[in-house]
Amino acid sequence: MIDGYFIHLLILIGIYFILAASLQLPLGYSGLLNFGHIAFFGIGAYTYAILTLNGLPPIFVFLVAGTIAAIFGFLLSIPTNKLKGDYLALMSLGFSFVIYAILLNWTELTRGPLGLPGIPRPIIFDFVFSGNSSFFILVLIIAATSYLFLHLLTKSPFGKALEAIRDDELAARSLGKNTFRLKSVSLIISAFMAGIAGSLFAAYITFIDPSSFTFVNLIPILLIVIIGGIASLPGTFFATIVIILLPELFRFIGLPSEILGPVRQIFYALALILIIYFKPRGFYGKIDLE
Amino acid sequence: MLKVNNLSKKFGGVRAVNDCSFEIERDKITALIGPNGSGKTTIFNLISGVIKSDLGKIFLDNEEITDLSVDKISNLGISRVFQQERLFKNLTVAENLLLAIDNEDTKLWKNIFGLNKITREKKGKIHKILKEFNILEIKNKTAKKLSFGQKRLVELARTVLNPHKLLMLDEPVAGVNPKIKKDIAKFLLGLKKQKRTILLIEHDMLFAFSVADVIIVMDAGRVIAKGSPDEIKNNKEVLEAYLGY
Repeated sequence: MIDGYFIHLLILIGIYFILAASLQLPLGYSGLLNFGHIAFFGIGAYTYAILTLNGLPPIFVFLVAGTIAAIFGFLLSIPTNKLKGDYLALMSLGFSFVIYAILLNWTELTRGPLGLPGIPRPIIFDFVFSGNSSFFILVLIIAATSYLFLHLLTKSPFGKALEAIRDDELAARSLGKNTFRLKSVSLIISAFMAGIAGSLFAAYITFIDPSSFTFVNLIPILLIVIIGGIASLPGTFFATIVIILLPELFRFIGLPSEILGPVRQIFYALALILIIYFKPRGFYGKIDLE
Repeated sequence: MLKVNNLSKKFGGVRAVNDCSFEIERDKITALIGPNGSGKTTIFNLISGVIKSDLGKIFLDNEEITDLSVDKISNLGISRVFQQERLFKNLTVAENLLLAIDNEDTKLWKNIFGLNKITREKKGKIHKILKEFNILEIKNKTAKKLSFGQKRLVELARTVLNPHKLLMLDEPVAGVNPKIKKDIAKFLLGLKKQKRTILLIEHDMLFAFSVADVIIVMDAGRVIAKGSPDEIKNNKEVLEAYLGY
Protein backbone atom coordinates (compact mmCIF):
# COMPACT_ATOMS: atom_id res chain seq x y z
CA MET A 1 0.00 0.00 0.00
CA ILE A 2 2.73 2.45 1.08
CA ASP A 3 4.86 1.31 -1.87
CA GLY A 4 1.99 2.03 -4.25
CA TYR A 5 1.43 5.48 -2.75
CA PHE A 6 5.18 6.20 -2.91
CA ILE A 7 5.36 5.19 -6.58
CA HIS A 8 2.30 7.34 -7.30
CA LEU A 9 4.13 10.35 -5.82
CA LEU A 10 7.30 9.55 -7.78
CA ILE A 11 5.28 9.44 -11.01
CA LEU A 12 3.72 12.82 -10.23
CA ILE A 13 7.18 14.24 -9.42
CA GLY A 14 8.44 12.99 -12.80
CA ILE A 15 5.54 14.45 -14.79
CA TYR A 16 5.57 17.77 -12.96
CA PHE A 17 9.35 18.00 -13.29
CA ILE A 18 9.08 17.70 -17.10
CA LEU A 19 6.34 20.34 -17.07
CA ALA A 20 8.22 22.79 -14.81
CA ALA A 21 11.64 22.25 -16.41
CA SER A 22 10.14 22.89 -19.84
CA LEU A 23 8.70 26.18 -18.52
CA GLN A 24 12.22 27.18 -17.45
CA LEU A 25 13.29 27.42 -21.09
CA PRO A 26 11.04 30.34 -22.11
CA LEU A 27 10.61 31.85 -18.63
CA GLY A 28 13.98 31.34 -16.97
CA TYR A 29 16.30 31.40 -19.97
CA SER A 30 14.55 33.51 -22.63
CA GLY A 31 12.72 35.84 -20.22
CA LEU A 32 9.29 35.17 -21.75
CA LEU A 33 6.59 35.33 -19.08
CA ASN A 34 4.49 32.56 -20.56
CA PHE A 35 1.23 31.85 -18.72
CA GLY A 36 0.06 29.67 -21.60
CA HIS A 37 2.20 26.71 -20.54
CA ILE A 38 -0.68 24.87 -18.89
CA ALA A 39 -2.51 24.96 -22.25
CA PHE A 40 0.34 23.00 -23.90
CA PHE A 41 0.02 20.43 -21.09
CA GLY A 42 -3.72 20.20 -21.84
CA ILE A 43 -3.19 19.97 -25.61
CA GLY A 44 -0.75 17.08 -25.07
CA ALA A 45 -3.11 15.30 -22.68
CA TYR A 46 -6.15 15.62 -24.95
CA THR A 47 -4.20 14.66 -28.09
CA TYR A 48 -2.98 11.50 -26.37
CA ALA A 49 -6.44 10.69 -25.01
CA ILE A 50 -8.37 11.29 -28.24
CA LEU A 51 -5.90 9.46 -30.48
CA THR A 52 -5.35 6.43 -28.24
CA LEU A 53 -9.10 6.11 -27.61
CA ASN A 54 -9.43 5.97 -31.39
CA GLY A 55 -6.96 3.12 -31.61
CA LEU A 56 -3.70 4.81 -32.56
CA PRO A 57 -0.54 3.25 -31.10
CA PRO A 58 0.52 5.13 -27.91
CA ILE A 59 4.25 5.36 -28.74
CA PHE A 60 3.40 7.20 -31.95
CA VAL A 61 0.78 9.27 -30.15
CA PHE A 62 3.32 10.58 -27.59
CA LEU A 63 5.26 12.19 -30.44
CA VAL A 64 2.11 13.49 -32.16
CA ALA A 65 0.92 15.04 -28.87
CA GLY A 66 4.27 16.78 -28.39
CA THR A 67 4.28 17.94 -32.00
CA ILE A 68 0.76 19.40 -31.87
CA ALA A 69 1.61 21.23 -28.64
CA ALA A 70 4.81 22.46 -30.37
CA ILE A 71 2.76 23.82 -33.30
CA PHE A 72 0.68 25.81 -30.79
CA GLY A 73 3.97 26.89 -29.19
CA PHE A 74 5.07 28.28 -32.54
CA LEU A 75 1.74 30.11 -32.98
CA LEU A 76 2.11 31.61 -29.51
CA SER A 77 5.64 32.71 -30.40
CA ILE A 78 4.53 34.88 -33.34
CA PRO A 79 3.34 37.83 -31.19
CA THR A 80 6.55 37.66 -29.11
CA ASN A 81 8.20 39.52 -31.97
CA LYS A 82 6.32 42.60 -30.75
CA LEU A 83 5.17 41.79 -27.22
CA LYS A 84 7.17 41.27 -24.07
CA GLY A 85 6.83 41.47 -20.29
CA ASP A 86 3.34 42.15 -18.95
CA TYR A 87 1.77 42.27 -22.42
CA LEU A 88 3.11 38.85 -23.34
CA ALA A 89 1.97 37.48 -19.96
CA LEU A 90 -1.57 38.76 -20.57
CA MET A 91 -1.64 37.47 -24.13
CA SER A 92 -0.40 34.00 -23.13
CA LEU A 93 -2.96 33.97 -20.30
CA GLY A 94 -5.63 34.72 -22.91
CA PHE A 95 -4.27 31.84 -25.00
CA SER A 96 -4.67 29.42 -22.06
CA PHE A 97 -8.28 30.60 -21.58
CA VAL A 98 -9.01 30.03 -25.26
CA ILE A 99 -7.64 26.47 -25.11
CA TYR A 100 -9.62 25.81 -21.91
CA ALA A 101 -12.79 27.12 -23.58
CA ILE A 102 -12.19 24.83 -26.57
CA LEU A 103 -11.65 21.78 -24.31
CA LEU A 104 -14.81 22.65 -22.41
CA ASN A 105 -17.09 23.46 -25.33
CA TRP A 106 -16.02 21.27 -28.25
CA THR A 107 -18.06 18.46 -26.77
CA GLU A 108 -18.08 16.26 -29.91
CA LEU A 109 -14.32 15.92 -29.60
CA THR A 110 -13.60 16.31 -25.88
CA ARG A 111 -16.96 15.44 -24.23
CA GLY A 112 -16.63 18.82 -22.51
CA PRO A 113 -16.98 18.78 -18.71
CA LEU A 114 -17.74 15.05 -18.73
CA GLY A 115 -14.13 14.42 -19.66
CA LEU A 116 -12.55 11.43 -21.37
CA PRO A 117 -12.44 8.20 -19.35
CA GLY A 118 -10.69 4.92 -20.09
CA ILE A 119 -7.55 6.36 -21.64
CA PRO A 120 -5.22 3.45 -22.45
CA ARG A 121 -1.85 3.07 -20.82
CA PRO A 122 1.11 3.20 -23.22
CA ILE A 123 2.25 0.13 -25.12
CA ILE A 124 5.81 0.14 -26.41
CA PHE A 125 7.02 -2.83 -28.48
CA ASP A 126 4.14 -4.99 -27.16
CA PHE A 127 4.98 -4.10 -23.55
CA VAL A 128 2.00 -2.59 -21.76
CA PHE A 129 2.89 -0.10 -19.02
CA SER A 130 -0.17 -1.14 -17.04
CA GLY A 131 1.42 -1.32 -13.58
CA ASN A 132 2.53 1.81 -11.77
CA SER A 133 6.07 0.51 -11.29
CA SER A 134 6.61 0.04 -15.01
CA PHE A 135 4.90 3.37 -15.72
CA PHE A 136 7.27 5.02 -13.26
CA ILE A 137 10.24 3.61 -15.22
CA LEU A 138 8.82 5.18 -18.40
CA VAL A 139 8.31 8.55 -16.65
CA LEU A 140 11.81 8.34 -15.16
CA ILE A 141 13.38 7.71 -18.59
CA ILE A 142 11.49 10.62 -20.19
CA ALA A 143 12.20 12.96 -17.24
CA ALA A 144 15.92 12.08 -17.24
CA THR A 145 16.11 12.55 -21.02
CA SER A 146 14.35 15.91 -20.67
CA TYR A 147 16.81 16.98 -17.97
CA LEU A 148 19.81 15.94 -20.04
CA PHE A 149 18.45 17.65 -23.16
CA LEU A 150 17.74 20.90 -21.32
CA HIS A 151 21.10 20.75 -19.56
CA LEU A 152 22.99 20.38 -22.86
CA LEU A 153 20.89 23.08 -24.49
CA THR A 154 21.17 25.67 -21.74
CA LYS A 155 24.90 25.17 -21.15
CA SER A 156 25.66 25.49 -24.86
CA PRO A 157 26.23 28.82 -26.66
CA PHE A 158 22.58 28.52 -27.82
CA GLY A 159 21.50 28.68 -24.15
CA LYS A 160 23.74 31.71 -23.62
CA ALA A 161 22.09 33.40 -26.61
CA LEU A 162 18.70 32.78 -24.96
CA GLU A 163 20.01 34.26 -21.71
CA ALA A 164 21.26 37.27 -23.64
CA ILE A 165 17.69 37.87 -24.86
CA ARG A 166 16.42 37.62 -21.29
CA ASP A 167 18.97 40.16 -20.05
CA ASP A 168 18.77 42.64 -22.93
CA GLU A 169 17.01 41.79 -26.17
CA LEU A 170 18.07 44.95 -28.02
CA ALA A 171 21.73 44.33 -27.19
CA ALA A 172 21.38 40.73 -28.44
CA ARG A 173 19.84 41.96 -31.69
CA SER A 174 22.59 44.53 -32.09
CA LEU A 175 25.07 41.61 -32.01
CA GLY A 176 23.22 40.18 -35.02
CA LYS A 177 21.14 37.60 -33.18
CA ASN A 178 17.76 36.82 -34.73
CA THR A 179 15.98 36.99 -31.40
CA PHE A 180 12.55 36.20 -32.82
CA ARG A 181 13.86 32.88 -34.12
CA LEU A 182 15.56 32.08 -30.82
CA LYS A 183 12.42 32.91 -28.81
CA SER A 184 10.29 30.83 -31.17
CA VAL A 185 12.61 27.82 -30.83
CA SER A 186 12.54 28.09 -27.03
CA LEU A 187 8.72 28.22 -27.00
CA ILE A 188 8.42 25.34 -29.49
CA ILE A 189 10.75 23.06 -27.47
CA SER A 190 9.02 24.05 -24.23
CA ALA A 191 5.56 23.34 -25.69
CA PHE A 192 6.72 19.99 -27.11
CA MET A 193 7.97 18.87 -23.70
CA ALA A 194 4.82 20.14 -21.95
CA GLY A 195 2.79 18.18 -24.52
CA ILE A 196 4.75 15.01 -23.67
CA ALA A 197 4.17 15.68 -19.94
CA GLY A 198 0.45 16.07 -20.72
CA SER A 199 0.42 12.72 -22.56
CA LEU A 200 2.06 11.01 -19.59
CA PHE A 201 -0.48 12.64 -17.28
CA ALA A 202 -3.43 11.44 -19.39
CA ALA A 203 -1.94 7.95 -19.71
CA TYR A 204 -1.32 7.74 -15.97
CA ILE A 205 -4.60 9.13 -14.61
CA THR A 206 -6.57 7.45 -17.46
CA PHE A 207 -9.24 10.14 -17.15
CA ILE A 208 -8.98 13.82 -18.06
CA ASP A 209 -11.36 16.73 -18.04
CA PRO A 210 -10.79 20.47 -18.72
CA SER A 211 -10.57 21.36 -15.00
CA SER A 212 -7.01 19.94 -14.88
CA PHE A 213 -5.79 22.54 -17.38
CA THR A 214 -6.91 25.88 -15.96
CA PHE A 215 -4.71 28.78 -14.84
CA VAL A 216 -5.07 27.57 -11.22
CA ASN A 217 -3.17 24.44 -12.23
CA LEU A 218 -0.31 26.58 -13.50
CA ILE A 219 0.31 28.06 -10.02
CA PRO A 220 2.15 25.01 -8.61
CA ILE A 221 4.26 24.89 -11.79
CA LEU A 222 5.20 28.57 -11.45
CA LEU A 223 5.88 27.92 -7.78
CA ILE A 224 8.31 25.10 -8.65
CA VAL A 225 10.16 27.36 -11.12
CA ILE A 226 10.40 30.25 -8.66
CA ILE A 227 11.25 28.19 -5.55
CA GLY A 228 13.91 26.28 -7.47
CA GLY A 229 15.26 29.49 -8.94
CA ILE A 230 14.95 31.12 -12.34
CA ALA A 231 17.18 29.36 -14.89
CA SER A 232 18.17 26.55 -12.49
CA LEU A 233 17.48 22.98 -13.56
CA PRO A 234 18.77 21.33 -10.33
CA GLY A 235 16.63 23.84 -8.40
CA THR A 236 13.60 22.88 -10.49
CA PHE A 237 14.20 19.22 -9.67
CA PHE A 238 14.43 19.74 -5.91
CA ALA A 239 11.53 22.21 -5.88
CA THR A 240 9.33 19.68 -7.72
CA ILE A 241 9.97 17.13 -4.98
CA VAL A 242 9.13 19.71 -2.28
CA ILE A 243 6.00 21.04 -3.99
CA ILE A 244 4.61 17.57 -4.70
CA LEU A 245 5.43 16.11 -1.27
CA LEU A 246 4.71 19.01 1.09
CA PRO A 247 0.94 19.27 0.48
CA GLU A 248 0.71 15.51 1.01
CA LEU A 249 1.18 16.25 4.72
CA PHE A 250 -2.36 17.64 4.75
CA ARG A 251 -3.60 14.08 4.16
CA PHE A 252 -2.07 12.99 7.46
CA ILE A 253 -3.48 15.74 9.68
CA GLY A 254 -7.02 14.50 9.31
CA LEU A 255 -8.46 17.18 6.99
CA PRO A 256 -11.78 16.15 5.44
CA SER A 257 -11.33 15.12 1.82
CA GLU A 258 -13.74 17.82 0.51
CA ILE A 259 -11.51 20.63 1.78
CA LEU A 260 -8.19 18.96 0.97
CA GLY A 261 -8.19 20.29 -2.61
CA PRO A 262 -8.97 23.95 -1.72
CA VAL A 263 -6.42 23.85 1.16
CA ARG A 264 -3.78 22.67 -1.29
CA GLN A 265 -4.63 25.53 -3.71
CA ILE A 266 -4.41 28.04 -0.86
CA PHE A 267 -1.07 26.54 0.19
CA TYR A 268 0.31 26.92 -3.35
CA ALA A 269 -0.92 30.51 -3.73
CA LEU A 270 0.38 31.54 -0.29
CA ALA A 271 3.73 29.88 -0.88
CA LEU A 272 4.05 31.74 -4.22
CA ILE A 273 3.36 35.10 -2.54
CA LEU A 274 5.80 34.40 0.31
CA ILE A 275 8.62 33.14 -1.88
CA ILE A 276 8.35 36.11 -4.29
CA TYR A 277 8.38 38.49 -1.32
CA PHE A 278 11.12 36.94 0.83
CA LYS A 279 13.27 34.94 -1.56
CA PRO A 280 12.70 36.15 -5.12
CA ARG A 281 15.75 34.27 -6.42
CA GLY A 282 14.44 30.97 -5.05
CA PHE A 283 16.83 28.52 -3.45
CA TYR A 284 19.14 27.79 -6.37
CA GLY A 285 18.64 30.79 -8.63
CA LYS A 286 21.17 33.46 -9.48
CA ILE A 287 18.82 35.56 -11.56
CA ASP A 288 16.66 38.34 -10.13
CA LEU A 289 12.96 38.32 -10.91
CA GLU A 290 11.98 41.57 -12.62
CA MET B 1 30.96 54.26 -46.83
CA LEU B 2 27.81 55.33 -44.98
CA LYS B 3 25.44 57.75 -46.66
CA VAL B 4 22.51 59.42 -44.92
CA ASN B 5 20.15 61.14 -47.37
CA ASN B 6 17.43 63.57 -46.28
CA LEU B 7 16.61 61.64 -43.14
CA SER B 8 13.70 62.87 -41.00
CA LYS B 9 12.13 61.64 -37.77
CA LYS B 10 9.38 63.20 -35.67
CA PHE B 11 8.34 62.23 -32.14
CA GLY B 12 4.86 63.69 -31.69
CA GLY B 13 5.32 67.39 -32.40
CA VAL B 14 9.10 67.33 -32.01
CA ARG B 15 11.18 67.07 -35.18
CA ALA B 16 14.21 65.20 -33.78
CA VAL B 17 15.90 64.75 -37.16
CA ASN B 18 15.05 67.18 -39.92
CA ASP B 19 16.08 66.51 -43.53
CA CYS B 20 19.52 65.42 -42.37
CA SER B 21 22.20 64.36 -44.87
CA PHE B 22 25.86 63.45 -44.45
CA GLU B 23 28.44 60.92 -45.49
CA ILE B 24 30.97 58.95 -43.44
CA GLU B 25 34.31 58.33 -45.05
CA ARG B 26 36.03 54.97 -44.91
CA ASP B 27 39.08 54.47 -42.65
CA LYS B 28 38.41 57.62 -40.64
CA ILE B 29 37.06 58.51 -37.22
CA THR B 30 34.11 60.85 -37.58
CA ALA B 31 32.70 62.58 -34.51
CA LEU B 32 29.07 63.66 -34.44
CA ILE B 33 28.75 66.57 -32.06
CA GLY B 34 26.05 69.05 -31.17
CA PRO B 35 24.11 70.50 -28.25
CA ASN B 36 21.71 68.34 -26.21
CA GLY B 37 18.61 67.48 -28.23
CA SER B 38 20.27 68.15 -31.56
CA GLY B 39 19.33 64.65 -32.80
CA LYS B 40 22.63 62.76 -32.56
CA THR B 41 21.34 59.69 -30.71
CA THR B 42 18.19 59.65 -32.90
CA ILE B 43 20.49 59.51 -35.94
CA PHE B 44 22.34 56.56 -34.33
CA ASN B 45 19.04 54.81 -33.61
CA LEU B 46 17.89 55.34 -37.21
CA ILE B 47 21.15 54.06 -38.70
CA SER B 48 21.22 50.96 -36.48
CA GLY B 49 17.52 50.18 -37.06
CA VAL B 50 16.35 50.72 -33.47
CA ILE B 51 13.72 53.18 -34.73
CA LYS B 52 12.14 53.60 -38.16
CA SER B 53 12.53 56.78 -40.18
CA ASP B 54 9.68 58.99 -41.44
CA LEU B 55 11.55 60.03 -44.57
CA GLY B 56 14.96 59.62 -46.18
CA LYS B 57 17.36 56.81 -46.95
CA ILE B 58 20.48 55.26 -45.43
CA PHE B 59 23.11 53.39 -47.45
CA LEU B 60 26.02 51.24 -46.27
CA ASP B 61 28.50 50.59 -49.09
CA ASN B 62 25.79 51.57 -51.60
CA GLU B 63 23.37 48.98 -50.16
CA GLU B 64 20.20 50.51 -48.76
CA ILE B 65 19.74 49.66 -45.09
CA THR B 66 16.88 52.06 -44.27
CA ASP B 67 14.48 50.52 -41.75
CA LEU B 68 16.05 47.05 -41.82
CA SER B 69 15.91 45.16 -38.52
CA VAL B 70 18.63 45.72 -35.90
CA ASP B 71 20.07 42.21 -36.33
CA LYS B 72 20.18 42.45 -40.13
CA ILE B 73 21.97 45.82 -39.93
CA SER B 74 24.44 44.34 -37.45
CA ASN B 75 25.07 41.40 -39.77
CA LEU B 76 25.67 43.82 -42.66
CA GLY B 77 28.53 45.30 -40.67
CA ILE B 78 27.42 48.01 -38.25
CA SER B 79 28.42 47.43 -34.63
CA ARG B 80 27.23 49.82 -31.96
CA VAL B 81 27.84 50.91 -28.35
CA PHE B 82 24.71 52.37 -26.76
CA GLN B 83 24.59 55.48 -24.57
CA GLN B 84 23.24 53.44 -21.65
CA GLU B 85 25.04 50.32 -20.51
CA ARG B 86 23.57 47.23 -22.19
CA LEU B 87 25.64 44.25 -21.02
CA PHE B 88 24.03 40.86 -20.44
CA LYS B 89 24.16 41.31 -16.71
CA ASN B 90 23.75 37.68 -15.61
CA LEU B 91 26.45 36.40 -17.95
CA THR B 92 30.20 36.59 -17.34
CA VAL B 93 32.44 39.00 -19.19
CA ALA B 94 33.82 36.13 -21.33
CA GLU B 95 30.26 34.98 -22.18
CA ASN B 96 29.30 38.55 -23.13
CA LEU B 97 32.27 38.73 -25.48
CA LEU B 98 31.72 35.24 -26.91
CA LEU B 99 28.22 36.26 -28.00
CA ALA B 100 29.80 38.90 -30.23
CA ILE B 101 32.07 36.47 -32.10
CA ASP B 102 29.92 33.33 -32.17
CA ASN B 103 27.77 33.28 -35.30
CA GLU B 104 26.77 29.62 -34.79
CA ASP B 105 25.07 30.06 -31.43
CA THR B 106 21.58 30.29 -32.92
CA LYS B 107 21.85 26.84 -34.55
CA LEU B 108 19.98 24.48 -32.25
CA TRP B 109 21.20 21.01 -33.24
CA LYS B 110 24.80 22.06 -33.71
CA ASN B 111 24.78 23.34 -30.14
CA ILE B 112 22.95 20.38 -28.59
CA PHE B 113 25.39 17.91 -30.13
CA GLY B 114 28.34 20.01 -28.99
CA LEU B 115 29.46 20.81 -32.55
CA ASN B 116 29.63 24.55 -31.89
CA LYS B 117 32.81 24.50 -29.88
CA ILE B 118 34.37 27.39 -28.01
CA THR B 119 37.55 27.07 -30.04
CA ARG B 120 41.04 28.19 -29.10
CA GLU B 121 40.68 30.91 -31.75
CA LYS B 122 37.55 32.33 -30.08
CA LYS B 123 39.17 32.13 -26.64
CA GLY B 124 42.27 33.83 -28.07
CA LYS B 125 40.23 36.76 -29.42
CA ILE B 126 38.59 37.26 -26.03
CA HIS B 127 41.91 37.02 -24.20
CA LYS B 128 43.55 39.50 -26.58
CA ILE B 129 40.92 42.21 -26.31
CA LEU B 130 40.67 41.90 -22.51
CA LYS B 131 44.44 42.25 -22.33
CA GLU B 132 44.34 45.32 -24.58
CA PHE B 133 41.89 46.94 -22.17
CA ASN B 134 43.83 45.75 -19.11
CA ILE B 135 40.82 43.93 -17.71
CA LEU B 136 41.90 40.32 -18.03
CA GLU B 137 41.26 39.73 -14.33
CA ILE B 138 37.49 40.31 -14.69
CA LYS B 139 37.09 37.69 -17.46
CA ASN B 140 35.00 35.32 -15.33
CA LYS B 141 33.14 37.97 -13.34
CA THR B 142 29.38 38.34 -13.82
CA ALA B 143 28.67 41.60 -15.67
CA LYS B 144 26.31 42.93 -13.00
CA LYS B 145 29.18 42.87 -10.48
CA LEU B 146 31.42 45.20 -12.51
CA SER B 147 32.04 48.87 -11.82
CA PHE B 148 30.57 51.44 -14.24
CA GLY B 149 33.93 52.01 -15.93
CA GLN B 150 34.60 48.27 -16.31
CA LYS B 151 31.13 47.80 -17.83
CA ARG B 152 31.89 50.54 -20.35
CA LEU B 153 35.17 48.87 -21.32
CA VAL B 154 33.56 45.44 -21.69
CA GLU B 155 30.81 46.93 -23.82
CA LEU B 156 33.33 48.64 -26.04
CA ALA B 157 35.32 45.38 -26.31
CA ARG B 158 32.13 43.48 -27.21
CA THR B 159 31.24 46.01 -29.92
CA VAL B 160 34.73 45.84 -31.39
CA LEU B 161 34.65 42.02 -31.43
CA ASN B 162 31.28 42.00 -33.23
CA PRO B 163 32.30 41.64 -36.92
CA HIS B 164 31.88 45.06 -38.52
CA LYS B 165 32.77 47.54 -41.23
CA LEU B 166 31.60 50.52 -39.21
CA LEU B 167 31.83 51.05 -35.45
CA MET B 168 29.28 53.41 -33.90
CA LEU B 169 30.07 54.62 -30.40
CA ASP B 170 27.52 56.67 -28.49
CA GLU B 171 29.40 58.64 -25.82
CA PRO B 172 31.89 55.91 -24.96
CA VAL B 173 33.66 57.98 -22.28
CA ALA B 174 30.61 59.56 -20.61
CA GLY B 175 30.81 59.15 -16.84
CA VAL B 176 34.05 57.16 -16.74
CA ASN B 177 37.06 58.16 -14.63
CA PRO B 178 40.06 59.93 -16.24
CA LYS B 179 42.17 56.75 -16.25
CA ILE B 180 39.55 54.77 -18.21
CA LYS B 181 38.94 57.76 -20.47
CA LYS B 182 42.66 57.74 -21.28
CA ASP B 183 42.58 53.97 -21.93
CA ILE B 184 39.61 54.35 -24.29
CA ALA B 185 41.28 57.27 -26.13
CA LYS B 186 44.44 55.15 -26.52
CA PHE B 187 42.40 52.25 -27.83
CA LEU B 188 40.54 54.46 -30.35
CA LEU B 189 43.80 55.94 -31.57
CA GLY B 190 45.05 52.37 -32.01
CA LEU B 191 41.98 51.62 -34.15
CA LYS B 192 42.65 54.80 -36.12
CA LYS B 193 46.13 53.54 -36.95
CA GLN B 194 44.55 50.31 -38.17
CA LYS B 195 42.37 52.42 -40.53
CA ARG B 196 39.08 51.41 -38.96
CA THR B 197 35.93 53.39 -39.75
CA ILE B 198 34.31 54.83 -36.64
CA LEU B 199 31.34 57.12 -36.07
CA LEU B 200 31.40 58.65 -32.62
CA ILE B 201 28.97 60.76 -30.60
CA GLU B 202 30.79 62.73 -27.94
CA HIS B 203 29.96 65.57 -25.59
CA ASP B 204 33.52 65.88 -24.35
CA MET B 205 34.88 68.27 -27.00
CA LEU B 206 38.52 67.82 -26.06
CA PHE B 207 38.14 64.07 -26.40
CA ALA B 208 36.26 64.33 -29.71
CA PHE B 209 38.74 66.77 -31.22
CA SER B 210 41.71 64.69 -30.06
CA VAL B 211 40.62 61.43 -31.72
CA ALA B 212 38.48 62.45 -34.72
CA ASP B 213 39.62 63.10 -38.29
CA VAL B 214 36.30 64.62 -39.30
CA ILE B 215 33.72 66.46 -37.19
CA ILE B 216 30.04 66.71 -38.12
CA VAL B 217 28.09 69.29 -36.12
CA MET B 218 24.33 68.92 -35.68
CA ASP B 219 21.81 71.42 -34.41
CA ALA B 220 18.00 71.14 -34.33
CA GLY B 221 18.04 67.82 -36.19
CA ARG B 222 20.22 68.83 -39.14
CA VAL B 223 23.89 69.10 -40.05
CA ILE B 224 25.19 72.65 -39.72
CA ALA B 225 28.89 72.03 -40.36
CA LYS B 226 31.35 69.37 -41.41
CA GLY B 227 35.13 69.56 -41.50
CA SER B 228 38.43 68.85 -39.81
CA PRO B 229 38.70 69.62 -36.08
CA ASP B 230 40.59 72.86 -36.86
CA GLU B 231 37.97 74.02 -39.36
CA ILE B 232 35.15 73.30 -36.92
CA LYS B 233 36.85 75.12 -34.02
CA ASN B 234 36.69 78.36 -36.00
CA ASN B 235 33.28 77.89 -37.62
CA LYS B 236 30.93 80.79 -36.79
CA GLU B 237 27.72 78.78 -37.10
CA VAL B 238 29.09 76.15 -34.71
CA LEU B 239 30.09 78.76 -32.12
CA GLU B 240 26.63 80.26 -32.37
CA ALA B 241 24.90 76.90 -31.88
CA TYR B 242 27.07 76.07 -28.85
CA LEU B 243 27.63 79.42 -27.21
CA GLY B 244 24.82 81.55 -28.63
CA TYR B 245 27.01 84.24 -30.25
